[in-house]
Amino acid sequence: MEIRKRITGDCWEFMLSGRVDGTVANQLEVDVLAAVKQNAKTIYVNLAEATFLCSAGIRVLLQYHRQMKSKGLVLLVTRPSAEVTSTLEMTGFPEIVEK
Amino acid sequence: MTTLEVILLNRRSEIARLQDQLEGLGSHHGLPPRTLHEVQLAVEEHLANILKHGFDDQGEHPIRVRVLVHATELRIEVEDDGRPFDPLKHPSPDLSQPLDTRPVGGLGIHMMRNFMDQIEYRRADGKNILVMTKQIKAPTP
Repeated sequence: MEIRKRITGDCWEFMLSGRVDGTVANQLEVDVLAAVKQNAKTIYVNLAEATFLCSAGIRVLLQYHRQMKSKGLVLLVTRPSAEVTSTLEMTGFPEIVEK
Repeated sequence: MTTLEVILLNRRSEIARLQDQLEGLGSHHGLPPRTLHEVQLAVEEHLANILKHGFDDQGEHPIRVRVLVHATELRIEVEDDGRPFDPLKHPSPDLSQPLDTRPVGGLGIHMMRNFMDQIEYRRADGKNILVMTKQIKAPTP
């Protein structure tokens, strides 16, 4: 699966669709690291079209959410699908979703 | 009752192949989308754990997956010849800890436990056998 990107200044948005499995989670990590390296100040991971989110995906989101936050920067999930919302709530990570 | 039996190899792309077949099965049986979603996640997490922790060598290992669809229940049996691994012995993560300090390990097994109604593990003939059961309920309006 290709992860679509939209870059506006120092704000990066990644759009994921379908199953966010281990392979997609690895690709997301590569893309997030590239954004960090290019001094992104805000990273949004748009999961509106994601049909599921596995624990490997949650680990990537949480790891870089923490890393960005510790530098005063932002990484948040935006527009999670109903399936992703239920997974994030069940695993106790609703806070990484943009309010 | 319908049975789907698939022999996967210990590669990540094989999990995706099984997920495609599960989606086909779900569509064929008109499984509630939420039920299918939760089953797919439990299967994903278990197979990912087998691939990550199960094998000491780089060789190919078959992983047998059987899916049985009854009128009110879906049963999935996964058999692998990896090192003994009973996911039920792993403690659940402490979800009450603050987000910034909470460990992320154990989330996959937590998801399996929460998404499936019953999970049984046994070790027999040098193989791990995990049986996961999910009740099929009509979607709430």
